[in-house]
Amino acid sequence: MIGLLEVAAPSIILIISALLTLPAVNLIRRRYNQRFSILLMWILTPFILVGASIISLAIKYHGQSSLSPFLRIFLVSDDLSHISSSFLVDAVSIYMVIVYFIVGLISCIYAVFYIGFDDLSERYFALMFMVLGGVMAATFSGDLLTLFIFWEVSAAGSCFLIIYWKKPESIEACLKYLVMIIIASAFIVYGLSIIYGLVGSLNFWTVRAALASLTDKSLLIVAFLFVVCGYAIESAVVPFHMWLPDAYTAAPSSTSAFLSAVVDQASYYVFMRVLVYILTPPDILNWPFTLAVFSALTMTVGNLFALAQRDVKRMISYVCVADIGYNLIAITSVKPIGVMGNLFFFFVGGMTTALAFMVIGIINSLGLKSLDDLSGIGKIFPMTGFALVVASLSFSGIPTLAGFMAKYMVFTAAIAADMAWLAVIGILNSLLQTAYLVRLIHYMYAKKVKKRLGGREPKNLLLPVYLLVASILILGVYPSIVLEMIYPAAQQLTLLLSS
Amino acid sequence: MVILEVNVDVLSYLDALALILLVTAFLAIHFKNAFYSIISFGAMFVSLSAFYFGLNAQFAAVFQLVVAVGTIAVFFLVSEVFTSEKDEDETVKDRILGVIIALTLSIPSFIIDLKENHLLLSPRGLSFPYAMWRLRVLDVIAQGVVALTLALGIMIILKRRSVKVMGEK
Amino acid sequence: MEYIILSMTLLAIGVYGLLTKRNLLKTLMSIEIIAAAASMNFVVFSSLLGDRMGQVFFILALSVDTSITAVVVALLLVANRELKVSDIWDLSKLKE
Repeated sequence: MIGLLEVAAPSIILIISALLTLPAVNLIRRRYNQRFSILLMWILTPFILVGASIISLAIKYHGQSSLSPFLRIFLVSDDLSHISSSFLVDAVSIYMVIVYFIVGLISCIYAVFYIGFDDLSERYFALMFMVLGGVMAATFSGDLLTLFIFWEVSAAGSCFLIIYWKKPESIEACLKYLVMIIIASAFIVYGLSIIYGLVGSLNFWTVRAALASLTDKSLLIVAFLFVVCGYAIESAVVPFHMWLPDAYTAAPSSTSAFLSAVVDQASYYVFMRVLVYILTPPDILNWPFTLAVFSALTMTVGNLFALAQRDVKRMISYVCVADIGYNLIAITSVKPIGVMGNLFFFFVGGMTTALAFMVIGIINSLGLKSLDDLSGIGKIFPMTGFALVVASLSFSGIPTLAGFMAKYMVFTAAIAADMAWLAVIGILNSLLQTAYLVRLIHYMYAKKVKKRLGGREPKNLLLPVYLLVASILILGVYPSIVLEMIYPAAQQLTLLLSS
Repeated sequence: MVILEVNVDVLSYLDALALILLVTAFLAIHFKNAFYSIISFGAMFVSLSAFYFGLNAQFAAVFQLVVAVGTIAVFFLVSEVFTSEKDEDETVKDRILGVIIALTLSIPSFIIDLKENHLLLSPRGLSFPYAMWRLRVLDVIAQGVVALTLALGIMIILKRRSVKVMGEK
Repeated sequence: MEYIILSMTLLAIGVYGLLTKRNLLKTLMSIEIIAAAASMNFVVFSSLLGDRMGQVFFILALSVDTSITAVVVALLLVANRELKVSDIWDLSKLKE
């Protein structure tokens, strides 16, 4: 039997180590002469513990998953359990936590070398741990309010990560982000309050049961409209996407990599959890078509704006917006294949955007920003150039790279859900994306070098970059490594839909 | 002679509080003068709190008042810092217009009647401390984590420092 | 008296203030009004249903909103000090 503490263990470890990081990094700074190896060891220790706890949780869960696929863990176990705080462990949440762990680990290694021993760097690393812990707890939560509060932990933490260098544009972007977050959270709380009024509880399963049994659903539709709208603001679905490019461009590259890899994927997960796992079967409220329209819009806007950008970092930020669109396609299908596509895309999309931001961090540190600056750097900095090529080819879905499989599954899911038009829009968008990413590669290799560059490739930053490159290449050739982990989740969705 | 009879039952004190709430909320946004605006905003919170008392929700009422006091103090501080350059005043006509708009806005909540159906019909005899500290302690901890995150990060915002930014040579 | 419409009106006032008022103070007030509207339903339903849990939800939800508003205030003070702005929508015009 899995207990409450075991589920919370990853988050608890991360939060405690966040608190310990403050004195520890100060100590390393003063006593140990700012040695990177010791700092790296300090950052890796909690990850080892978290990894161990996640693995033991996953083994325990999969050992009994055939008995109770959706494991609900309540704080109290009497007849009031459905209104108490609760955790939910199922194949999806286990998988998502593993994803956050892997991608978060690699972006933390990058941040160690990128941020180094800045003035307040101990707080930066502590906040990274906090955000990761909050996201993991949010993923396991089985109650709409718990989900919301833990989600706010990560949202509040990310604003500090964005503002870290306090450049004028990052103050601005952070303010914009926070105002959006507050509006979003007010919308979510508003929706939750109506749901509470109608159902009397905020537990996923009680709400789901109530959906089927309530006779007049109009007010409930309004409530979920508010909730979904709020989470749409937080995950930057198109009419509300304006904060994302600003925030990711103004933030330090290590932050952009971390946020796009962890917090973004978590926001898609929340979206999926609320829509696919609570508002099902979809004919109750009939939301998929509306979402499909927004998904098409998000993809198109993201790609068109990316096409128009000259600043490479801003371009990749818009690629993130387009990624949200692809993820929404799979969510609209509400089919097992859609869930599989989604989960695979979460992992691959997170890795690819993180890789792209990391490489851009290296390029920016050499003093290069715009597309013209990148002319010919492929020849001068072969390692960096190759990594960016892998990232852009994976974004555009070239076979033998992981991005291809992800996109393929997403588009198949759309066709399986009788939304071939969405798949067509998705494929057209994919072509558009390939066009501007190939333009980027063209600049890097075919153009002449514009200005003399003095710097050298920072070798230590290339370590996490190449970890990601390797995993993208391996997953492209052997996607079954991850697909095997995803398969139980797809089966469980069938169970849920048939019950 | 016509004697106007006001039916007190139709307009109960909760309705009156709700009306004051909406009007003060709107005026807080509408007033151009920062001082009046904050006063109106404070009145909004007081009426909201009284509204909660009227609904027999004492814990919520007290909590709302505590939050309100802090917020209003912060707002006075903010208005000191920000509104120095142009402090224009609106005319009396503007103020009356604001009250009229606010009153119009409050009409729908009095005339529309939604027929909601609640699933939960029987009252649960929960005591407040039990609900908070036993059933919902996880959320209270989560709340603590939010506060902790903010405490960790606020230094990043407030501390003046000269940073060397990578890539800006 | 329809409480949901009442809180929706309050929400609408907040959103209106956020969209139209250019003053920083008004923006903060609008945010607070939105938060109040959002949390009001909890209390109302809690009292109508005779269920104390609503008040717990209210306190939890409101304190999240309030603590984030506090950060916004700090950020605004810094923005005012370093960027010399007093209107957050001016900020967004700097780009695009």
